[in-house]
Amino acid sequence: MTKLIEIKNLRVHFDVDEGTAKAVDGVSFDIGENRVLGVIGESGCGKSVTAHSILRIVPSPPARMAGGQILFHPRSNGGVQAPPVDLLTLDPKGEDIRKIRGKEIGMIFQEPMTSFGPLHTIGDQIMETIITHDRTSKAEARTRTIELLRRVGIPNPEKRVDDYPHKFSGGMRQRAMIAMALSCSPRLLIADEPTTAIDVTVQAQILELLRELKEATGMAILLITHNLAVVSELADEIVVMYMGRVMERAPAEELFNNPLHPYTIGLLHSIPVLDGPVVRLEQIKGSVPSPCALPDGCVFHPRCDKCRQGVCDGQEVPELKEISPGHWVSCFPQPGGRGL
Amino acid sequence: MRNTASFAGQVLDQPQNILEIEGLQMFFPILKGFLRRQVGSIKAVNDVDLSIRRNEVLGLVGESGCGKSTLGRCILRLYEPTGGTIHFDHGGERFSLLDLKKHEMRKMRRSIQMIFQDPFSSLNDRMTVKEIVGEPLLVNQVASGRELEDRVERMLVRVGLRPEHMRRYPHAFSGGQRQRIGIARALAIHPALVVADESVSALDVSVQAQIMNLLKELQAEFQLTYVFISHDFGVIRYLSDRIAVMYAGKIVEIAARDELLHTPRHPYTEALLSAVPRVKAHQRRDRILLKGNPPDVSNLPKGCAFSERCSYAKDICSNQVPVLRGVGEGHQAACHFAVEIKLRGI
Repeated sequence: MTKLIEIKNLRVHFDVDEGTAKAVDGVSFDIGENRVLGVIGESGCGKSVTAHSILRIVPSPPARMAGGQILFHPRSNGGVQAPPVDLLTLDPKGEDIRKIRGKEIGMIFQEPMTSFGPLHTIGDQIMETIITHDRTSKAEARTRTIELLRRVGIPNPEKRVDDYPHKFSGGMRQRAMIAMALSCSPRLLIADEPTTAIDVTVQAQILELLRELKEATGMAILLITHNLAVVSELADEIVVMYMGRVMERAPAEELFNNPLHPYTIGLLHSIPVLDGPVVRLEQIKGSVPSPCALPDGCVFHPRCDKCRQGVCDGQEVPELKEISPGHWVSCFPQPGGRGL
Repeated sequence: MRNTASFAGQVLDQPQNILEIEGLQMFFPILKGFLRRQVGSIKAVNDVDLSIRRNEVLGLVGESGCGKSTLGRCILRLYEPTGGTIHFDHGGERFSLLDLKKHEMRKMRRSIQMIFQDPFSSLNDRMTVKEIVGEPLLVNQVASGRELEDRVERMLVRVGLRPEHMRRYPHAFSGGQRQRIGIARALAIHPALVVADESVSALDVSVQAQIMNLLKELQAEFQLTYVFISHDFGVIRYLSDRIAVMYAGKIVEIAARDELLHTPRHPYTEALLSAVPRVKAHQRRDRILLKGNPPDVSNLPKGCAFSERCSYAKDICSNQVPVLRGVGEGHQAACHFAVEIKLRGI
């Protein structure tokens, strides 16, 4: 598998009145070409900050890139593989990152309502991306835009291309957003909660569309969501985050069939599902700590029902270790436990 | 009028239905032009008949714009319905809610309370938790002074907050804690009927599980009847005894929970169930992808509102509106072919 992007020990800290919020604190993962990596976690776990850091669109200040690397492997040029670029070293307002944003890495956001400007037509906004990156003529950009809209399932694209965003329904706007993200055939698509704001029947359509497009274009997808079921529909591999750290990482099937980290297990048990008996949901006790005052040791220990005094609450942070091929867990070994 | 419905001994000799809704309509006018002339109407709730049994949880499920929230709000008369009747049976008396005068309705809200979706906008930021939770008790002259404080404290502890939280303001709390405050406020006055509108939708999954468990415990403890409104079939399944599915302002199917989930009789219920994302891969089956868009309730088709998107539709479907009719034990569906077609459940 050829690696497309490698995130190594990423740290993003926010300087706020209460102190330093470690939104992302030592996150590492990589995505291979044409793979779908899902990142799941609850609000405040740092999943969106991680994704936004890749495109360097985290507002700074208050954010501070406190460490790590984001290595992006450029397209091989006539068989010659150029060395990877560390996106963190680029100027967030500079020319280099702009060539990557939209062109190499596309992004779709949660709120299709606010992601399009209200004053320009959908077509103009998509064409702008194409003209900027590919320096095409206006006529060609328009033809390509219509083709893209057709591709993402917008009926009558020759006409709809001249509509303003308010004329599109939520699902249609999300489709148009995907069309815009795909306009320059990116190699990586970052989808940040792409289906959170839309209805379940439309959500099913959008997930199906993403799956099709991934197969057809060979792009990789970084899917950020709080919804475990959505991530299981699409992802090859899943990263579970909690309070800025990676708790567990495994192939999708393995994660759902054999979750090892107590947080992952707790999350899986707290979803009201459509199968099995209706019993009381198992809940994770307590609530998330303040990001400015993270607990010592394992960041999850105050809420963990497997927490061991003197081990999990000490000074040492558990390392992310590979337990079986491709299955990584950050948890102190349990005595006689499941091979952690 | 004392609230007697919550004492166990009296429940048995009360009528089975706590609420009976008949022919309920909520049409919002569409106004246009300088003279604000009415050019049409948005039929948010369109001829809904629905009975709610005492001590049950009725789950109301549907997608945005189907009218489920409007229906919930009509029960409390937060909207004034444009047609139909709602009868509320309480304390041995039967009240026609839509005929009550404003001040009578205000009194009635002691017994019918609402829990809202957004724990951030539904609490007044300038009131302390004690004032928020105590307000219904105070305005209804149920308790004051020391007694009020005691009751607020007991309620806060019951929903999982601490007594010292009384003097704090909402901004000092997380989303889950705010939702607990909203629940304490709704239940402090011991209502008989609670309308919960997307009350766990804005919460993270671990917090959502905590709040769902709490709502379930409180229902048993205070013998409450819930109308639980949600777009999430998983949440609805965990909490409800019966489930009603809404589409384009109408109830298209209603049945006991497992009956509805395992043997749906309306094609829309089938499609909705099929669209729910599943965690485990082997549970994923061929998904029914609905064509077209959600209905426009200001411009409904002549026949069945779902007919244009329905893969089972025949000629009659685009000409004649199907009525909600019995298709099995306690099972009603509004489809011309509810009995003939075999649909897939979960």
